Amino acid sequence: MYVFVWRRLVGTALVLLGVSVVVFLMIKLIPGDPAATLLGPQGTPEEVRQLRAAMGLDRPVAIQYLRWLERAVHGDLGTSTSLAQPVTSLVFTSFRNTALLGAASIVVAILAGIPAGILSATRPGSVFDVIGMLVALFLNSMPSFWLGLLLILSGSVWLRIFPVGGMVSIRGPSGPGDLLAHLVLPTISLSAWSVGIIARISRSSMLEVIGLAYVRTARSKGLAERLVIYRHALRNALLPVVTVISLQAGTLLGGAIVTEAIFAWPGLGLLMYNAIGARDLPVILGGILVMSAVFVVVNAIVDVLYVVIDPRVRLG
Amino acid sequence: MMRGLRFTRRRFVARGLTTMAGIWSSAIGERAGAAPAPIAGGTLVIGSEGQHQTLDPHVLTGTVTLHITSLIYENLITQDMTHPELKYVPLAPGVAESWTVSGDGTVYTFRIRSGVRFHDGTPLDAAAVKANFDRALDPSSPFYYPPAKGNLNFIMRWVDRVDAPNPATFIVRLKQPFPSLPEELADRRMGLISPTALRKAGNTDIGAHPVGSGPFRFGSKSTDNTITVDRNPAYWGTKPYLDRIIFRPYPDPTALGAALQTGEVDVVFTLTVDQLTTLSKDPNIQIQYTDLANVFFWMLNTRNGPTTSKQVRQALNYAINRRAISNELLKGSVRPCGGPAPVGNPVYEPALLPYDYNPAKAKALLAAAKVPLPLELVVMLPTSGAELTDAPAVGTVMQQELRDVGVNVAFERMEWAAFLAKAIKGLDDRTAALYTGWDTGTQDPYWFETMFSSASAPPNGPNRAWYSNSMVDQLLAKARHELNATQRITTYRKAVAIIADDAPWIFIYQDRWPRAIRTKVHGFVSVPCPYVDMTKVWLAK
Repeated sequence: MYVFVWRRLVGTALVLLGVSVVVFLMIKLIPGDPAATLLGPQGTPEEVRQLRAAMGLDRPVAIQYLRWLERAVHGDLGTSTSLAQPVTSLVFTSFRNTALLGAASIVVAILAGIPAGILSATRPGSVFDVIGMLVALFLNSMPSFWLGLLLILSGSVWLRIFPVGGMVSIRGPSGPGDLLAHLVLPTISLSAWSVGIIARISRSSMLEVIGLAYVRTARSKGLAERLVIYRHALRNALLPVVTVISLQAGTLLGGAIVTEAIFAWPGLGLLMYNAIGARDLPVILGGILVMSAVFVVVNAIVDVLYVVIDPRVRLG
Repeated sequence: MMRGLRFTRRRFVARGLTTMAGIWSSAIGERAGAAPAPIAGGTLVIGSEGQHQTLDPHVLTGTVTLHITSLIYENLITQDMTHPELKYVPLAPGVAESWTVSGDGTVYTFRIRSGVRFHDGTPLDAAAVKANFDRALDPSSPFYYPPAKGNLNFIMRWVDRVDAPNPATFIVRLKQPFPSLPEELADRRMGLISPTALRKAGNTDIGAHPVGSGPFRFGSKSTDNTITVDRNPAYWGTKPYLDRIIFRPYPDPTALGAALQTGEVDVVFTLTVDQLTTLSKDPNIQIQYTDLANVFFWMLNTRNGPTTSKQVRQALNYAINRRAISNELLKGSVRPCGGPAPVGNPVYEPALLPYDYNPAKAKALLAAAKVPLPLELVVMLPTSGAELTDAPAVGTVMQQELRDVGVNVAFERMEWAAFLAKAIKGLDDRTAALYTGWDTGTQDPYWFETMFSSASAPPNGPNRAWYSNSMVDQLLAKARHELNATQRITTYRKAVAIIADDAPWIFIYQDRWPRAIRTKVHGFVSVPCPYVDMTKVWLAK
């Protein structure tokens, strides 16, 4: 286990270093200038040149990167050029908000998707199976921005149950109930696609396991069907599902730009979307580093989970 | 006899009841017709169309956050936003209670109001004003901040130096006469920050800890970037009715419109065409048009390609149906503007908007220009950017109208940051035009020199069409120095008449800037200004 953890730490550092280099170069290569974007259309080339010099953007690219890296290693991710705030606090505050939304979405996706897939697999060809998989396909096909706007129209404008957007603090005057109210619609919107894919993968994985010989043996020994499915078949069927969930978790925890923009949820996705438009390199770099670290950590956790689920799997 | 008496009594009672009903309804009518008395207190919630930036006015460009900072900070000179009957917004004393101009127009002496303090108690005197100017002017000043220098260059380029000989006197010495200085000083980016707060927070953090002298003070910034400002009970001027104003950001315009419909927000300052269509049907929402002088146009390459011909440029202008674009495509949220001088600019007169839809004339001009048809043009088109969300739709309509007269347009579609980075260098040899708009200072005559003087060509200015006319240059320079207001306007009009004839742009429309307000909100006065005098705003119970 210690060797596993050590290897993962070293690997993570190398991944983050590589990601930072690639992203830094990409931002420098795409058209757009942070100084020109800050000054807007009224800016003149001369004013842009002066502002670039003040921001240190006139230095060679390699020097700019090395200066950024030196500060980043000490925990200073720089200052946002568009928001004039420290990137570290911006990124971590946004990540915390995204983590809340992402975690809620993963929980909903698991609680809705896995049971739906299992029930479909145990009743193949039934009305429940057909309707369930059609709904799953629909959820997979629906664009998230369309679903989000539909939820706002129905839940906020017509029914007046949920707020349109924004987020409140759990310690705010309106309390955790208000935070929960703000969380409902974006969670439904964000989890929809995951519910669909988890349900479909659960169903196909379960069907494959149910068809194996040992399950037939268990049934022929007279075991109750509930025991056959949930004690003997489910655990083996979960491995592919865990893989899909880990990929979904990485994506959701990294920030869902469209959902966050529609519901004005102040998460990492929205922060990155605005930063890219403004060519705010410090924020882009900081945000992507956090997203990359999340992916790596989630994958490490999933690797450990594999061992728990299937003792035949070894770490390392 | 008895029968007659009964009839008379019944008639008397009926007439009495009728009279009483009449008196009663008349009283009600009078009460309904009378203007309601303002009510003190309450919280106004404003939906912002995008994220809030730093609350440092000296580095801001967009009105989204300037709406907030305009409540926290004050300027030397402000705008009087209480005259909807005027087609412009007159200037008024702000922190400077009066000012004088020297005979040669180069020295402005401001008398600073006594007793005004910043929200942190620091006196707002001439030294404090100088500290703010030094932030963009004097590299040796401890307050100097290069991003402020770049952003405020529009005014500081004229300033030689500033002095504060005593607490009540602030002097601006210009390099040359510049009668537009008072207008520029009223720009919300020139808000005055407390020097004490600047020293304490530093240049990069002052935006998170804003301290001004305005009628509202910074309250808080929450998890979702909602910003709250609270009434300043110690304000020297007219105290606001409202206790608090909350600015809530909504990146998606549909969600923002939904928030207004549900009452989650009370005001939305700028509307998209789709929002306008939906919200105008809601009986709880009123739409106000501020009729700003913001203009939208295609800059035409006057240095290279077929658009170097004046006849071609005029033809392109006659080919565009501005009324259809304004009334049908953009649903009346804009008005046609077939020339360089928008309504709201003091130079405006109808003769300076000569271009109307006339495809026959367009074809005749193209024939006279002897250009091979179809004419092929490449046009830069932004697909995003503040107030340019309609650009793709308008561009498509214009493309069709130009095709009808034998001009084929190919768009180079670009995301906003990429568009800006290319546009500021000026139109290159292969690009015939770029689609853009302008808001800053379009109500000030000096704007014409900014846009059309040959000295304003890149890298020195935004004349990206490379337009150059020596007579126009002379007239604009003469107008800039002219201290007589009437003569100044006359000189500008001569210059603008030539610009209109030269047609360096396809002039398209000017913004009516519709905003949506819930009916419980009172005190919003519709003047040609994106900002609102929030000290006059109140909420009905």
